[in-house]
Amino acid sequence: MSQKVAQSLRQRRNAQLGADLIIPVLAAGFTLYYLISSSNLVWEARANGTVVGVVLLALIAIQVARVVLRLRGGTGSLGFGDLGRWTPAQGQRLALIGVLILFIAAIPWLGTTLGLFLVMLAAMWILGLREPVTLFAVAGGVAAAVFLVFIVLLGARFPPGPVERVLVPLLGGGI
Amino acid sequence: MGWDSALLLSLAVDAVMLTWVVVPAVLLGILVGAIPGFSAQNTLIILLPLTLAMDINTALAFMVSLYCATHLGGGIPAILVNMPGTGGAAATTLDGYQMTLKGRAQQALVLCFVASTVGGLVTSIATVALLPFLAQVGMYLRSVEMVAVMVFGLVLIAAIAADDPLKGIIAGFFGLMIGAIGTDHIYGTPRAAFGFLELYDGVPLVPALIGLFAISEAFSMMERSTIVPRSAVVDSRAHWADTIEGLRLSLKYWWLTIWTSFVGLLIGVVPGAGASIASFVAYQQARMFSKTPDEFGKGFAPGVVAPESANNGVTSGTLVPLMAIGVPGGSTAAVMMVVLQYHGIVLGPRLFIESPDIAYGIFFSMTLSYIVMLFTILPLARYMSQVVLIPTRILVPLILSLTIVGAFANREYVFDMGLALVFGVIGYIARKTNYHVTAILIGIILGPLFEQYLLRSLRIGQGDLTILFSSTTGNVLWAFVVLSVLLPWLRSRQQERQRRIERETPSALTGDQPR
Repeated sequence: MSQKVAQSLRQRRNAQLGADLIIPVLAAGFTLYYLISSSNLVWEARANGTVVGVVLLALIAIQVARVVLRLRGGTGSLGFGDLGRWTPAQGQRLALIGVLILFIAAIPWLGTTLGLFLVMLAAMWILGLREPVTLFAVAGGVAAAVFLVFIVLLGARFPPGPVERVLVPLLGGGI
Repeated sequence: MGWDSALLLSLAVDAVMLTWVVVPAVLLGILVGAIPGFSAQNTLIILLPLTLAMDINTALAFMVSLYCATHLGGGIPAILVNMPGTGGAAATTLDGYQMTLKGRAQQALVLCFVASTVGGLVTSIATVALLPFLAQVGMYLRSVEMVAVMVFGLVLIAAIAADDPLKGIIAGFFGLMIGAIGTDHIYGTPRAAFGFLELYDGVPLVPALIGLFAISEAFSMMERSTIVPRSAVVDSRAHWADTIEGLRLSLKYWWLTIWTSFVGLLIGVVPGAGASIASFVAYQQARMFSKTPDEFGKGFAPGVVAPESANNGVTSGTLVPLMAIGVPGGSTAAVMMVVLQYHGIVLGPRLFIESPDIAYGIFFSMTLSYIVMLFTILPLARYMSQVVLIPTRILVPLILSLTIVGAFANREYVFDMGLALVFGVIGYIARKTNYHVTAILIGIILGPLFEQYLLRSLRIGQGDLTILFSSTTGNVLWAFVVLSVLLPWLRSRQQERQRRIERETPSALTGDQPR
């Protein structure tokens, strides 16, 4: 058997079909929520969601049927592949999501500049950067650039914090 | 629609006046294009606060120049390290990298630059000439046909772009469903807004875009320490003799450049078809009509010229459906659509009557950007390959923090930052499981528009869905929808059968490995 065919067969046998169902399950869940929550509205308000939703549910049913057939044929399992495997990158990814959630929650108090500085610092640390000079130079540089370009020059109304409250009036701007 | 020479002259003058924004955009675009996995739309998303703060003409000139330049930049790592900076440069690796291995990297780069700029220039000029006719076509599309056009565009994007057409179509319809969130147009009742007031106006496009593209890409990028292994970078010291030889080869294949750039233009007009497909089609066409087809894949100059001129021909093409019927031809056009909508520009056939300066100005800016590129790129060539060495542990935090802040900039809601993160996770899962993020995004963008046309059709038909099949043009489009679903399905069935035959044929056990 040629190498390419053997590899293709191996891939098909090892197909992680559980991962293939995440988006359809998400989509079906949302569609059902849409259809149920809009069921008491006038037809004009739910026509679009119903037409699109019914087609989407039919497509999802076909995808589920395909997965079931492949499972029965023994060409895959209900595993989640890379998505379910615990790897260092997966841990870092989850830590980054956690840091971003904290950043979003704290930005009304920290302000954009300080928040950006801290989130950059934390994110680079999570990804394994340890040299203090690089950490502070990159984080400081990015925060300073955003502050100068967007807040001072363009006057974008990003959430203000201690840095903006002290520096913006000094530079002749208002927040 | 006739040509107004005064308008053309004023547009040309306006375009030249915007050189100050075109030059940095071109340089940035080349840089961005050279970073694999980093694309025009990601950069535009990061710089969205900047583009939203500019006036519409400046913003469009900036976006268009950056977009065109990324297609040129994508060829640099494709040639030097066998890694395409953009999907459109994937075909360039076939002969470009072989030229590098033979010590002809500089010649390959010159071929790539000349083919890209000439291809882009020729098609942008041709598009200006063709646009009035294309816009007229748009006038004949009524709400019933528009419903079919949107489904056709969505299905085409899904079927062509995704490896598995069914997955692509599910992604597209999931996007349409997300696009249905918000209050309805007639009674103003909220639907599926999860109780969030911030979603009553529908799902904001900027956070959806940021999440699906930039954040999900950053999450994927983390799996590599640097984008390109340092050991893979070839010393590409420039020699003028190589540059001159590259220019000579470019002149030799001038006809191929023109022809394949039009292949790119035509493919670009089809929503969703994009640069990746165009470059492979052009490569295949060049090989098919070549007198020496066996030379392809061995470091043959036309193997660099064809894909590079085609992927730049696409840039004008993708803007045509956006301008003429309001359906973005690709993900970068979708980003531009967001900016245009933010500035209150209504896309579609009426754009040519109401805002001709915008409709045509964009192509004048494109022409200018290609002229600027032609004069900037050659001296910069030798330094370009170095950008692929930026460590991802710096690049990923940079992308994540700047895009999350960018999500806030549009509506100034902290809620939008969280929404971008949610879409980032959805986008990452979609990428990992081959559900196409572009299809989801196009669905979200088309959602409200689709609802508007569908409702209009249904009200005319008094709620009867068969109204959607009452027009000849519409029915032809529906037939195309069915064909675009059936053909990829039949093709995959055929491949499956081929694999089974190969598996079961005894000769396959000892046969040569297919090329």
